[in-house]
Amino acid sequence: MKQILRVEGVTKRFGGILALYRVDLHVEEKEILGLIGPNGSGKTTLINVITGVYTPNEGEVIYNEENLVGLSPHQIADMGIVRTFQLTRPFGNLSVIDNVIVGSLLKSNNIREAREKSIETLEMVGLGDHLDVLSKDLTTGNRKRLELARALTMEPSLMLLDESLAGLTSEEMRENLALLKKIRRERGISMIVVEHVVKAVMDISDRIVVLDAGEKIADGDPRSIANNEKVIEVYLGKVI
Amino acid sequence: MNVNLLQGLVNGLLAGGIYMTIAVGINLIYGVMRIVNYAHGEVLMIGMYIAYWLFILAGVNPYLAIPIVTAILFVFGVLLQKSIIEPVLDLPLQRQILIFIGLIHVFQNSAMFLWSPDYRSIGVPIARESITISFIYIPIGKLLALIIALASALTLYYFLKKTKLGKFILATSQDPDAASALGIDIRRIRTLTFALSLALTGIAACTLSPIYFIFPYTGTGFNIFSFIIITLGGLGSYTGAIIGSIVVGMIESFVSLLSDASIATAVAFLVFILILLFRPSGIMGRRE
Amino acid sequence: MSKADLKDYLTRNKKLFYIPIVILFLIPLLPIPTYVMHVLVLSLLFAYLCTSWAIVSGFAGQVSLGHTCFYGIGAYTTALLFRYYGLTPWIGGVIGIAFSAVFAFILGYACFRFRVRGPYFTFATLASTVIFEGIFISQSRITGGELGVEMPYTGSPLYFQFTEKVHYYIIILVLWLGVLFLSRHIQNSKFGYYLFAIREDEEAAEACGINTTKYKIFAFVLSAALTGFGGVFHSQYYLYITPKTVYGLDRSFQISSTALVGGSNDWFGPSLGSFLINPIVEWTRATYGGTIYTLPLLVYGLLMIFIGRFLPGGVSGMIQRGLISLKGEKGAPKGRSQ
Repeated sequence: MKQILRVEGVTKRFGGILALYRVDLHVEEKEILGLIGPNGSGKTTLINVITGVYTPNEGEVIYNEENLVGLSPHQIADMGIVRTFQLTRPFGNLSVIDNVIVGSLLKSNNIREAREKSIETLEMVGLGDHLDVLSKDLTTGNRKRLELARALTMEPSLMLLDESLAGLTSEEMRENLALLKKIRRERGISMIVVEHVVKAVMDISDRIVVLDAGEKIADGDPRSIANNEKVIEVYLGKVI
Repeated sequence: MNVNLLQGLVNGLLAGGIYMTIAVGINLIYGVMRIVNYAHGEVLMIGMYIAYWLFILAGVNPYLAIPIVTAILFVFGVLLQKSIIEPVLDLPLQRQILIFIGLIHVFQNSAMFLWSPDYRSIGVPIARESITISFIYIPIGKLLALIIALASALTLYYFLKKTKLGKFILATSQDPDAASALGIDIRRIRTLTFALSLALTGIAACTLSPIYFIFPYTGTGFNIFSFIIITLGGLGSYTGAIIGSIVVGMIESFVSLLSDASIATAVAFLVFILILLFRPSGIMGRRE
Repeated sequence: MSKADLKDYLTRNKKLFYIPIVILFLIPLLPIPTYVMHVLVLSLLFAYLCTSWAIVSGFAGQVSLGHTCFYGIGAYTTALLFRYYGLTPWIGGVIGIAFSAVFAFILGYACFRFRVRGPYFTFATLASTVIFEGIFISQSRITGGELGVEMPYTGSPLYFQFTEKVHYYIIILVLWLGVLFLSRHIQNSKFGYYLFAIREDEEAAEACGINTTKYKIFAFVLSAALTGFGGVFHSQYYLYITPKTVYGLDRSFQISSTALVGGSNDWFGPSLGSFLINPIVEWTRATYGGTIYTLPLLVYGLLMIFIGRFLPGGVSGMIQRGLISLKGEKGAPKGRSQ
């Protein structure tokens, strides 16, 4: 399987704090890679490095044979890597449909086309009835769906989903997971899914990478991760 | 050494002292609340009127009125912060600015309405005097303003760094979420900071009332200088406000001293543009 | 009335919008006293300035409180080139626009390039107009200092001067309509959507592939150029300019507050503010003068505080929300007004 993204030896320091240390990982085409680890292990930092929000002190991020390090976030988004945020960031005073139109304008140049695409995507994520709702009035669950829709309209090859299930009811979680699987099936988008809900990650991932204190401690299929001693230790006996 | 040069330096220092307190006050509020009080000059104006009326009606020397004026402005600050400022902290910038422009209008026109546009002054004999040290002319009023400004800046510094409450304020300005998690009541801290900033302005109002004319629009001039100071010195930077005040004071004094004022202002402009281009958040400002 | 009937009515209504425009063009045919024409010209000029301001400060959320610095650059460039070189203000005006644009680019680049915080940009614009005022006062050899520049009257259209106020009226009317349609076009275009996104959340906008620096600078330069041309018009209308009148903070704050009151998030908001507020202010000033005139300003100040606090998007925001409940729909205004 072709590798769509390769992170090599990425180290990131903030002053005296070592957030990431020599992290290597890769994502294959159409793969869903789970990224887990305790709080503060560097998951969001890694996403920020990949998407250009942070510049790593060492290492490279290779995508389509190109090193992304040094590029700005909008350039990386344009190249096909799209992310959602841990704490949702809708364009608060814009309506749901307008939020998504902003996203789809990346690939469409006229509003009509962007609008049609947005409506379609919003219906797919289940927000078809909420088109004109002010996005800051949405529930957390719907906000997550909104970000997902916005990301999808940017026609990514790789999506980085930062805790897209946090704050959801178990019903919503099941629905969102099914949605992600459907997206991968129908659109062939690769994903890195950062999650705390371990059960969900096990369910959806083809492969899982585990971070702890900025370092990668495990990389493999869900079953072997579940049985990995180091991982179990790090999660202190959490039921997997 | 050239006497003119020395005089220019002295004038610059004195001028800097005048604007220092206001710039520090604005930065203090910004540091904690991430909001700029565009009406700060108007607060100064109100303070000056209070000092004036205390002098006229009760014969209180403006320098002695400092505790009274600061107390009044402190209370005023608490009321203003709780009623108007606190609720708008999360609003978009545009709405905040509209509110501040509205406040400026309200303050200025209340003063106009209550006290007429007449220029008033407080005649305190010692403020009109000056001393001359080897050909350098130093007006006492301005000297006192500088000394008191520096003293209050130092006291504030001590308060912020060494007292518990002060450290809470610094913590809140660095990271409100962390401060809150540590158990600090950040809402109270915000009210306190705002009120403290206004009280600080009260000190400046008292020391400036004997030197400047008091009229409803006097705040605008001070506002203008504070804005330039903060642009140069950095928004939110305490030391930047102090350094910036001195720099702007120096520029102002050399502009009036040099025979060709036009060159001085052109140079000032160049300096301004260069600082903007190469130190975009001001000399000391935080790059966020 | 069913929803379909309402929609029908409102679509027909859209054509009615053009009637006021036609009326505005027909006004010159009526015998209007010069003073009224003067107020009309001023109101239109103001509406033009407020709308231009809103492109960068409303749509993009980068609030400039020193926008008059471009006004002054436009005015002085035209005036000085005409006064010293006899250059026709039609060309001088274009040069004035160019200078405004260049300075905006420098300022914008300095502020936006390094991801410095929003309020800092506001300060930089404030400081700029104040410093420009200071420079133009002090460079009195060239600029005439505080007394300003007076332009010789030729009455010749070749030199952007007209004998009748009506002619100025037509020009500013066209300018205003132009900027109005431009603003509406922007609001409904990709550019506009991107500006709104930047206003709401810059980091999220970057994540959506938007080059925020580029768009902010562009909006600023556009707004500055338009404002600069307003200054050109000013200098040709009055034939006399001083640093205080063209660079003054008062005017700058007035533009900003009027646009904000009217609603800086919509193409028609600032004009609304200008036509509502300006005539009242001018009328009060003319009728009263003296201390009594400060009371209306005091009330106006309270109104500003009220609108800022309770009416998102100003008057135009209120209208948008009203229109939505009239249409019987729910939710956010389609005009992205907030």
